[in-house]
Amino acid sequence: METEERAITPKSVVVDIVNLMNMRTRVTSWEDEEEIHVDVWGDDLGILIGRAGSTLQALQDLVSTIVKRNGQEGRRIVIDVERYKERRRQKLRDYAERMAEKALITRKPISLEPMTPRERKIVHDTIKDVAGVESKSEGEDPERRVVISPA
Amino acid sequence: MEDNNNQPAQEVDMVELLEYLAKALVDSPEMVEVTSVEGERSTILQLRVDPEDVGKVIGKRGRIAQAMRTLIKASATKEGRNAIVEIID
Repeated sequence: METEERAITPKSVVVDIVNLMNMRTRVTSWEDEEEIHVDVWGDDLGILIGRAGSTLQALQDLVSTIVKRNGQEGRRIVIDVERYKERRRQKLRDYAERMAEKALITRKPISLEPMTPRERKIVHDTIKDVAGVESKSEGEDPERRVVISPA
Repeated sequence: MEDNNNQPAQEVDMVELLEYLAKALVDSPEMVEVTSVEGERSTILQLRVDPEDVGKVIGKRGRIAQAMRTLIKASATKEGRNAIVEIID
């Protein structure tokens, strides 16, 4: 009745899952004091990302839960597929800059689409570096959104 | 879409995937049982776990059950199928 003594790591769980999904991938991992990152690489991995990253989010939820219940791991587990999150971050920065420009030209506050706390932080960080505008968050989750106004 | 793969295309075993996830989440993996019913375009997967473990495969506000459904559905999509996951308690 003993369970097998195989070390369960974020990487090993991701490898098991993508193999079971019959996807040809390469999985790499790196970690620091706060986070463990697992990156999945390959072709045609759109299915693993899903609409607006929903499948990737599900994968991350499952892997985090599995790893955390099987050990003492307290660090955040971050999974990415073909740098999807990195690319999304860049898009968000570009969008924030365009909206800042619009606020400057129209001299009117601009309310952005609702975002998650992490996404809002990326926008606030971007706006901090743009002269002449400021940003704040308004409303309640999940409708909470960033408003960019001329300073 | 063409798959330039020289291995023969293999079907994703959704039963095996769901079993793997459930066993990794529960305290009594030996009690995990998955059965599947194949329809024309859909597969219904029924997951049974030890009654003590039901909360673990559902998760807070159903988050884990939802995540398993999302992943299983993604695998089904790869095969051009639909999949429904039922947790039997």
